[in-house]
Amino acid sequence: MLMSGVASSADSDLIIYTYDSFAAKGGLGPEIVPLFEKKCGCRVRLLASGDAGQLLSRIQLDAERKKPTAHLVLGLDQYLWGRAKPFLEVWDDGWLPKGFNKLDENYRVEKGFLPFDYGVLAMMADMQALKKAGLKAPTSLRELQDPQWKKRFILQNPKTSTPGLAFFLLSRMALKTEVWDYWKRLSKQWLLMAPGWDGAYGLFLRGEAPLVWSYLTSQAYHREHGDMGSSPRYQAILFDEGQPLQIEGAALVKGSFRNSQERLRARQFLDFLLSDEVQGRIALKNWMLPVLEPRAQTLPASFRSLPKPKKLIRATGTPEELDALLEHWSLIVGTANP
Amino acid sequence: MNSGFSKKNSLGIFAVLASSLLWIFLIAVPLIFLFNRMANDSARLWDPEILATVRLTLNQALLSTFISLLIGLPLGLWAASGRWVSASRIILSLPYSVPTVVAGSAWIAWLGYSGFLGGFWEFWKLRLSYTWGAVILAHVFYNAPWIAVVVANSRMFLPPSLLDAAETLGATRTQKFKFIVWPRIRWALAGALAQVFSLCVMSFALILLLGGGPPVQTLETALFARIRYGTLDVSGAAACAFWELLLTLLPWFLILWAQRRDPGFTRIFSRQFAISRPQPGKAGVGYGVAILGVSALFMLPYLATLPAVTGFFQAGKDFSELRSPLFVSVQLAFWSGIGAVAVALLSVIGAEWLKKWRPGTVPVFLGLMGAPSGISILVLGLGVWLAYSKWLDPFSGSFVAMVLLQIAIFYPMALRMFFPLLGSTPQDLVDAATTLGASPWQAFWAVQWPRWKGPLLGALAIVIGASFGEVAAVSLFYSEQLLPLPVLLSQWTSQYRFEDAQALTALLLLLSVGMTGLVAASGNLGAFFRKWMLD
Repeated sequence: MLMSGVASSADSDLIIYTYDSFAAKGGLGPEIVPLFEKKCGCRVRLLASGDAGQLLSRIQLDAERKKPTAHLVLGLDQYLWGRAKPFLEVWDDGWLPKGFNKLDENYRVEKGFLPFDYGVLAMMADMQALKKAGLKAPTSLRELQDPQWKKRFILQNPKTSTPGLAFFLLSRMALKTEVWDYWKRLSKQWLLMAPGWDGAYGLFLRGEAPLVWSYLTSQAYHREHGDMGSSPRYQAILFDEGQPLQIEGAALVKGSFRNSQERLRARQFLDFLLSDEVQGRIALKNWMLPVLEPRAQTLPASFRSLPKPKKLIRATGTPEELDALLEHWSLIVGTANP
Repeated sequence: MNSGFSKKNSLGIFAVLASSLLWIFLIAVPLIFLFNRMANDSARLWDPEILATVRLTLNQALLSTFISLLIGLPLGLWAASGRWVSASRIILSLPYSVPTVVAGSAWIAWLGYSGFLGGFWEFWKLRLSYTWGAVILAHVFYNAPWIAVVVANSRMFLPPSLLDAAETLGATRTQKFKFIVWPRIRWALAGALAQVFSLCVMSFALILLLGGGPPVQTLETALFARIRYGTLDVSGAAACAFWELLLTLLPWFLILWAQRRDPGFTRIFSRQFAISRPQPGKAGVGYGVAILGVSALFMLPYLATLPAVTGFFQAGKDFSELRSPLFVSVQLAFWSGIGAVAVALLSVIGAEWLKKWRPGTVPVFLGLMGAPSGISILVLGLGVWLAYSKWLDPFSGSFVAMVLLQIAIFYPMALRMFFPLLGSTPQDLVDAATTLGASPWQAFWAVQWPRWKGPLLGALAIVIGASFGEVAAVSLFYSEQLLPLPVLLSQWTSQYRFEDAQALTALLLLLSVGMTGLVAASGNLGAFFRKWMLD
């Protein structure tokens, strides 16, 4: 169905769609791309495309235009994989990236999706603000319904943000049939529900609320930037119900290869993503966790000291199921019933 | 004489054709593609979630517009009566050029628990931020000064002799307003209200930042959610776009309908009110200072973001990466400003020509040309994607696409500022200048330029200022090589560079307001050149 041949590839041998912060100055991309270029003797071009959701829109639109632009897409997560799969190669010829078999089962999604890093989502707390308000950090999802937390936490919209979706799916898996009652009560509790993680975290750092839904590794970021000592200000909080996992991956774009050489180069890049050179840089450049522990070096102390989740939760479901759930969620939280 | 006539005709025909072609290419075709896509799934129009969002959007826009009217109308009349009308118009124009991301950030600084008044809100257990109240407050601060500018623009072209004559004949203040001022300002006011209502319907960044997310949602944010997140729900987005278009265009069509039935409207196109230059008020200095002070109050909330600009001067900070985005944004603002003013001028010239040829078509022509002010960039951008994506990769970055989209969205604003000048050419003065030996160029500088200077530079200033902070068009067509400042802002926040992002917010405010003030104030330079040429 798709026309073969990548558009505007004259000056690059490998084109990769990725999210903005990966490709931006100071991100992981500019650090690892020159290493790969040296290895393969080829030119690589990173095309930044907003966030993970926009990456999917981009490959969908390319398919609609019948003009694939990139050979590889890097930065989709397991929640978007179901929707992205029709536009991606699933390695049905038996090929597997080097190191794929060493991956923990927890991080594997499906053939075609190469996990290269992961994040554990958690509530971040401003301990100074909590102390000032005379509060102790919540220890469970259910606790957020208590009056003491009214207007004291920031979430992300599950319809526009992956962390927000992970929170919603965590609540669904943990609370089962009680989930809709929970959200009915919760909708009166949150201070705001931001469209994305960056906006939410920015307001948290500004001091708008003492709690925000974020990544466990946000704590490591603050430690690396001077928030240390006996009572550091920013602390990740674990819930009794467990913590959701977000697995970021890379995949080959269907119909993008003009010849076997191009496919080979793209596959080499997938191999490269699991190499020590990349995995060893993920922590401090992408603020996520590597899927393979690098042999040559251990994780920075700020990452090793992160709290250990009691339970890691991986949500499952088809895109259709997810759509139906989110539609119902909209009705519950009041968008459709003002 | 014949050649003069055919030259004027050629210019008129060119203006009508050029503006119409641009309209077809940028507005009509994308919308046709969008609705064609929606026709495949028309049931989505009645989706309960979308219908509820329509209701919320309508309520919010009506309330915001009504409160803006209550403040903007008296303020505009008051501003026009002061002695420094141009200065108060510039000051009142400034809030309109504040980027909405900056406005949102500023209002959080006032209303949020972390802001200047955080202790006050906390003590009284009040919470205005992240509510509909905050959204409406921000909309009113944004839009009331704009209504005031439009009202002042119309009011100041009213010949004082008319009011003096009425006073001599014993007319009361109310009678003067009802029979002289109101007929002059009402259509400009109606246009401003329609524009404000449309902007409140299409409001995006303020809803996202100050509304606090569900249940505070509008059609624009609902549309954004449907194309931003990975579902790419084009049918749902098109359904939102349809309702949004209906809401935003309805006031324009009502105005058009009412104008066709109002004999007073055609007088605006006649020479009855034609005067050569704006008439400043006669009130005293204290009165003028008070007007300037009240006008400046509307800028006060945004100044809260300025201290963050010191972030750029901290030791060890390297902001070399700012150079290229700054260059892109300046170029974008320049070309969008020139383009929007050029298209608006073409539309006015075209309307003038049509008035002589087919007067009945003028309201339809102007109505259609003004229509984009009721279309959001997200809606239009989605249509452009669908219509031209075979030739234009929206993701590979296109400066031309950004400029064209910004022109399409901003030129109706310029058109509305030129509207009071339409048809009021003081032909007798032009003829007199020509008889006295002035060349057409000198006659233009002496007679036309003083009338056009204010609205022209004002429009250019507002578009340039607005372009700096415009997010939607640039986020649809940027690339890593073509990165404007608002996209860099978003990148920095996603890299934990929140202090840098706040500094950039302050820089955006300085750039947009500074450029607006500079261009608007450059009218004085124009006066200098005019004097020099005439001498």
